[in-house]
Formats: sequence, structure tokens, C-alpha cells
Amino acid sequence: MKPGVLAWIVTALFAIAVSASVFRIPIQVSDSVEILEVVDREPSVAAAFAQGLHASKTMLRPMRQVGTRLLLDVAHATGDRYNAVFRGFHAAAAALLIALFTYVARPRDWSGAAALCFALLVLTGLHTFGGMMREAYPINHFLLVAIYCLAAFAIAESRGGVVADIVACTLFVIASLTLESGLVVFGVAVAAYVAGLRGISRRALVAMAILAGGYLVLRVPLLHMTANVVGERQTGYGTEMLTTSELRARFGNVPWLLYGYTILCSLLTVPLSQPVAGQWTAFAPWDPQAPPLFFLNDIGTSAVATAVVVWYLWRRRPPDGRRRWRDAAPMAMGAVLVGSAILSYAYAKSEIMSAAGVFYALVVYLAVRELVEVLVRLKPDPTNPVGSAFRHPVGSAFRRTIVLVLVLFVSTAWAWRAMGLQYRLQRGAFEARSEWVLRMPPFNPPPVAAAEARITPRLRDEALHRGRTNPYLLWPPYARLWGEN
Amino acid sequence: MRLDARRFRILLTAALAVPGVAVALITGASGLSAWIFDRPLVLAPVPRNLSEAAGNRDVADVVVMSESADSNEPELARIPLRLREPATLTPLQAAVISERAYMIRLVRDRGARLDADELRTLRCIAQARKDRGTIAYLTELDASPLNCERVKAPF
Repeated sequence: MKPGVLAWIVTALFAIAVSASVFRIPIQVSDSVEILEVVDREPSVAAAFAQGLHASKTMLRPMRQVGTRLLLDVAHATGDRYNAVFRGFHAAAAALLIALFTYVARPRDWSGAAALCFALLVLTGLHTFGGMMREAYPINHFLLVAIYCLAAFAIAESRGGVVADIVACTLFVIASLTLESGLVVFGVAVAAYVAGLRGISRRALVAMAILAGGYLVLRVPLLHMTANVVGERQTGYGTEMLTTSELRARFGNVPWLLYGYTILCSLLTVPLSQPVAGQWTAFAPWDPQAPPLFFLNDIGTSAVATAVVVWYLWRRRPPDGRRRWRDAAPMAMGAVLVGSAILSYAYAKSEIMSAAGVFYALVVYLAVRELVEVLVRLKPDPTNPVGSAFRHPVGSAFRRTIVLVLVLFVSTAWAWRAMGLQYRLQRGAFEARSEWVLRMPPFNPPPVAAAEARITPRLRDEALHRGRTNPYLLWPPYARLWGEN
Repeated sequence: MRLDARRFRILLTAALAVPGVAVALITGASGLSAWIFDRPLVLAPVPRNLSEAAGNRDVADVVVMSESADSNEPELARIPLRLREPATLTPLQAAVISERAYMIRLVRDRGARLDADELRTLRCIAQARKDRGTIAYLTELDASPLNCERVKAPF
């Protein structure tokens, strides 16, 4: 078997696993039913787009309405099978992201294939990945933005041409009108260009810059939209999760303090797995019901992976001695990480950093692949003569044994995190299904008034009869080892 | 066994890849089963009966199962979060053990009878578990002094 074949088999298995679990999660009540009912009443896709332009004073996401409308049309055409269509789309998008990841990574030898197996654990085990899979509103636009970013990077790596430029610009427009953090597609394109990739031409970058300007014109002078301010959504601060009223009371007069803190936390959450949504959950008061193993594993595995990434970024590449951080993937990771963190200034949310998590996993792949090559090399490395921890080969049997044990230990710890994703998705199915009872009468007011609920009864019926699973029946209680009760 | 450079390369590659391949095989097989049979192989247990659903906070399964099952029938229920061993429980008793007042309400809404004897049993279970939410809910139904002397706790 060739290394590339193994890599694609493993990729296919990961894609099947994640997409199957995503598909089982019913359409949720919160953030879904209302928009489904509203968009379903719109007469056309264009009307749905127009409705999306005016749906919020702070969020410009008309492509959310467009996507919802298109999927509703498909659902109506297939006998009102809403869950099959919406969840099928989400599952297909999840599989596409994983496939794109491997396509961009392109492992060619056994070191690369092994590094990819590890990187897929990092990709799916990161907490930012779960946010793209567990929920949908009713489409998960964070997942779409991650796909657009990765696709833009793949285009930048291509030979380029007019078609590549048009596709890249189209991706940027769709991404920026899907979600504010979709603007980072531009950052990916610029970073790739600066790093030397020419798949997206300078002409296309200029076009994207003009389109970005058009986005701002549409947002501010035309639609009179405002920016997020303190207290619009809850966010973490220190070891606490503050409510909107607490945020207003504490930061109403010093918003810059919260903004700075939130941006910094968003920058840290990808490489360190802490804080989560601005909250340093690992340092919250000791809970005897929740052993610290979960936090130790999350922080420890991320710290090791990030240390390897830092080592890699500081190395020089063989042909010209240029530092690795100036390569395309690290530059793109930096652009997405910084861009997403800045755009999440008002409140921290793991999902906003999900595209950055994908690029982080990509750089982990590159770093681990290089680390393997360095560890098994027989001669000293002439390109990195100074300052490298591994400039000489690992020679003795004792040292090699230590290295093997360490690598197996870290890789297994990441495997545990990746298994946690499966648990979280099953739990997501349980919670989404439960919402259809607990968020409905007699327990709560309906999300949409009964007279206006055209598709809600059907959605409820579908949700109750799909994705049966119950995390509380698991024994031993793995949930605590994956950070949930 | 000598750990020469060639063997080290093979073992290092394996050490890096094997956990990922293992996760891919386990979750991939589970995913295939989910796609084909709507039944994942790992991490997705399902309640076997109404009592088990009620005891494990599974409101959706309570609604679905109560359409065809007797809401008063005692059945063997696993409730790992609350009981060390499975116990034979009515759905209402399991609901009290779940320590969720909404579950008691739901099971009642779905047809479970609550006579004076059963209510006393439920109150005694709630008292034994010291769960404020279910105690408060049941006290609203019957606030009389509670005597659990001859009540046989079902666990």
C-alpha cells in the first residue's frame, strides 16, 4: 500500500465517522426554528437574501438566509424531509472539510502519512472543531467559513488563472456575507501571496480589497449597521462566565479592557485549549465530581503540539534557509488566528476560532512531518546548524526508546481527545432531541406562535424519531473525562 | 532487539500513526453502522424501556416510548448516574431518581397514575435522595407529614 492511499483511507474513515454523528443530530429548536419559519414564508431566494440584510443591526449574514431557503426548497421537493436535507448538508460539509484538509496536506511518504494520522486527531480533537459540528443555526456557518478558508488556501496553492481568481473572489464574497469572520478569507489569500504562492493573483487580491471596501459601504452607510458592544452576549472573564448585565455593569465604562482581554483569550484558545470562550475553566474552583484529568489532557496535549509548532516555525527550510514561519501555511494560520480573534472582540466563542483551529492542525501536520524526518535523520542538519534542539540525530537506543514512548503517549492522548468529539456529538444529538420537549409547551413558550408554525410540528416529529442516544447511560462515566457531567 | 536507525524509523512512524488509525477504524466502523442501521457502535447507548428513559433524563424517549408502552409498568432500569445496580422501577419512580422535576411532570402527562401510595413512595425516594427540586415538586402535590416507615424503597 502506498502512503497516499493509507492517508486517504484514514481520511475517509474520519469523514464517515464525523459526518455520521453529525447527521444523527436533529435540527435544534434554539437558533433554528425561528429562522426556518421566517425564511419559509419568504417567496424566493432573493427575498430571503433581502430579509437577511435587515435581520439584525449588528450581524450582516444574508447568506445564512439564502442557504436556509435553498435547503428548504430541497426539503419541500423531497417530501418535507427537513432533517434529512439540513443534517445531510451539514454532514456533507463536515466530510468535505476533512477531505479538503488532507488534500491541502498532500502526504507523499510514510512520514507524511503518519503525520497526517496525527494531525487528523488534532483537527477533530480540538475544542474549536466540535463547535462546527455539534450545532447548526440551522446551517453551521462557522463550518462553511472554515471550508471557504481552506478552499482559498488550496486555490492559492494551485497554478492559478482567471478561473482560480474568480472562484477565490466568489468565495470571499460568500464567506463575508455568511459570517463576519468570513472576512478572514481575504487574510488567507494575502498571507498565501506574501508567502510566495501565486494561485490567487495580485489582480484578484486587489479585487478582493475592493469587495471588502464594498462590504464596509454596504454595512455602514447603506444598512446603518453598528458594531457589537459590551453586554450583547455573555462571555467569560477570568474563571467566571459573565451574564450580559454583569458585563455591562463591570465593563460599560471600560469596554477596551474587555475587548483586549477577549482578543487575547481568543488568540490563546487555539494553541493552548484554554481559556474556553474567555473563561479559564481549568482554573475554576475544584469540583470533586470532575477530575482534572480532562484539563490536564487538553492543556498538556495542546502544549506539546504547540511546542512542536513553535520549534518548526523557527527552523530554516532547506532550499533557501528562510524561516518556516514565512511559509504559506503558517502565514495563513497567523492571518486566520489574528483576524478571527479581532473579529470576536466583543465576546469570545470557540466557534469563531474554528477556522483558525483547522489551520493550526495543518501547521501541526507540517511540523510533525518535519520532526519525524529530523528524528530519523542519520547526519547532522546543515540548514539548521545553530539553535536547533535536534540538530544532531537521535543516536542511542536508549534515547530512541524514550522518543518512541513519548510520541506514542502524546499521540494516544490526542486520540482520546478525538474520541471525545464522538461523545460530544452523541450528546449533542441527545440535547437537541430533548429541546423538542423541554423548550416547547407545557415546559416553555413555543419558539414560534402556533398560528405561524407551518413546519414546526413536522420538525418536532422528525426530531423525536431520529438520533436516539443517551450519554447518561454510559458506564463508566466517560463524560467527566471529556469535561462534561 | 537492536533499535537501529531503520527499525527506529518504522517504529516512530507507527507510534505516531497507530492511535490515529485506531480511532479512524473504531469511529469509522461506528459511523458506517450509523449511516446504514442508524445505530452507532460506540458511545451511543439507548434506553431499553420507559423507566430507563425516565431515569436518565431522556424526555424525548419518554414521549416516543409512552405512545406504545404502559406508563405504569415497573421495569428493570439502568441509571448509572444514580444507582450502582439496575433496579425494577415504575417510570415515575425512575423519574424521581433522575432528580429532575420536569421528568415527573412529563411522565404524569404521558399517562402515569399517581395514587396516594405511589405519591408517598415517590416522596420517600426524593427524601432519601435529598433532592430539593423533586422534594419541592412532590410537596406541592402533597404537603402532609411524611412517614416512610413501611415504604419499601425500590433500590
